Amino acid sequence: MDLERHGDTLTVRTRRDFNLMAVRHLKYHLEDATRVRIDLSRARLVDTEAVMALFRLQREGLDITLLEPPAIFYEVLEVLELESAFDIERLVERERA
Amino acid sequence: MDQVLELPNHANIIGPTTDYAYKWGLNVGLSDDKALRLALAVDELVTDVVRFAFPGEDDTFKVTFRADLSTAEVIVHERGEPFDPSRYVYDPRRAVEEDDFDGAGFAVIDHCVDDFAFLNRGREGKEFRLVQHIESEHIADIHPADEPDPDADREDVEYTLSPVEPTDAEDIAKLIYRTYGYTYAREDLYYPDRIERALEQDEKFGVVVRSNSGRVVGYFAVLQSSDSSIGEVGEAAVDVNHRRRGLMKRMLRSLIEQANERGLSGVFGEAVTVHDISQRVNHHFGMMSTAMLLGLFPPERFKSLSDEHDQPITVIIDFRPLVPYETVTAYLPAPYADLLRRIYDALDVDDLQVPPASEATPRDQLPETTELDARIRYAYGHVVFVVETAGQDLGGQVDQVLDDLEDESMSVACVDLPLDDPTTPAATALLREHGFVFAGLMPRFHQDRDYLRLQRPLIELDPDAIKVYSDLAHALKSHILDELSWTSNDTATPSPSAPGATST
Repeated sequence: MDLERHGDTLTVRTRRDFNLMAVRHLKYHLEDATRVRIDLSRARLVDTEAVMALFRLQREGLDITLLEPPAIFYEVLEVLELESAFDIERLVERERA
Repeated sequence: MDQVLELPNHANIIGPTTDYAYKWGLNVGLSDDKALRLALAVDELVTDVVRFAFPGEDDTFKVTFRADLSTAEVIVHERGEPFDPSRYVYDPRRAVEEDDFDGAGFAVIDHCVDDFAFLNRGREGKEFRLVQHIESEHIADIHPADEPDPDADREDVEYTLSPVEPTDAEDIAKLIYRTYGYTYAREDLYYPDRIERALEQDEKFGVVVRSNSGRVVGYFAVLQSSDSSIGEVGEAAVDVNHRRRGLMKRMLRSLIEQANERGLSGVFGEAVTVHDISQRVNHHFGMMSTAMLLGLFPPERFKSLSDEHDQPITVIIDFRPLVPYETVTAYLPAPYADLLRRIYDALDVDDLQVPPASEATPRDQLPETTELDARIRYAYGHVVFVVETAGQDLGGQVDQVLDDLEDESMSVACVDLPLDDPTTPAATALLREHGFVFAGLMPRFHQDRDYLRLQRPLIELDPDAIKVYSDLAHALKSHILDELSWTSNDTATPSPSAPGATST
């Protein structure tokens, strides 16, 4: 996982799938960040551990932005009926024009 | 062949295992999308095992990758804490309101794979099975219409026999479709990419016949067993315009030569019993009936062969040793000793050594725990338990797995017991108490050892719809029906005596 910190914003780029290990890394490096940008362009999979972590971190007040999540992320949200629990428009940063 | 990973319960193995599952899925023929979903299901399962199966302890678990031409299966087997997945049903309301995501992983797995089964193996732990069907393109979709046969009405056709190559795959699929329409039992033969894959992976070998025009008019193949040096003579077709010209005999001769060259110790056929034609052909080529397997295949695969019966199809195992039997040591369970001796006689076993009862393991000295491999054929509705070590919990383990598979609509369960193992008579007695009856001898079926197969039909079958040909097949049918107390109009009562058996 590649990390960059600018003030209270932590930007991470997963090297592989967004799974339990990636979640652990992310939590370990969060420290006092209030904003997290997670670049998922290299992730093929986002599993339920990752979705649970996003849900909980968001509940704790962290401002989370996902960049280029794989298609299966939306499917997992749909299966778990969590679309309405996340504000997708706000959560996922659309590709820049 | 199975690929087995033994893994520590550390979070850092989740990623590599998921990657492996994805690549393996692609290699066995899954589409990218299905391989990805299989990988996500594996990720979810392995994560669960790592997090919850061994609380506070370092341990290992196994992930087995198993595939045939139409199915990719991943089996996660662990011996961790007892667990009942049916108690963890995901509830989205509970997740959002109470932050309780129990069952979320299972919900995603269920969504990602075509079949998801949980098998409680008692002391042997738990198995989670993920199944993805391999999609292929049917020959009728690739070539809806076949060209006319230029050699159809010629008397002077010359035929060329050659070993089958992967490049013949499409021609073989065309021949099958032309010859059998949609009724051929082996569905894989309608899919050129499955044929090609099987040939490339050396899972089968065979012979094709081409007529003057280059058209494939005959095909005959042996499917090599994955855990023994025997092969199944299971695929044969001759174009209707080229029959009665001795092609089948020429192909079989070539096939037996190839089987010998490849060092196969025997060949067998699974002959359907909706008619006795296949059994006659097998016997014409020197095969002997060794077992009758009740309801092994679903009826729709044979629809046009018998419109009157729609019950699952029973098959006769016909076997021909290519390497002659020498001395065979077999612990024959008393109730089946006579029939097994007859079968060994038919297979030309001159020196059958049956140890005395004192050398067999008494029932109370069986080990506590059974080790077995459950080979589930979801598409066919049957399961075969291959026993490595028979223990006191054999019947219980088998019953538990069958309970766990209740939703899979199984027609029959079989158990294979090694006949050279002194525990087999006691294990047989134990399984008989759990409703199992004789099926027959499975010669050289696993690691080149002879196995006694027992079976338990899970549905009712009409015995009169089971047509058998040879004397031995009649004897098998009669014995099995008698043991099940099923009555048939055309069977005689077998002799219950069994001298010379290994008893416990």
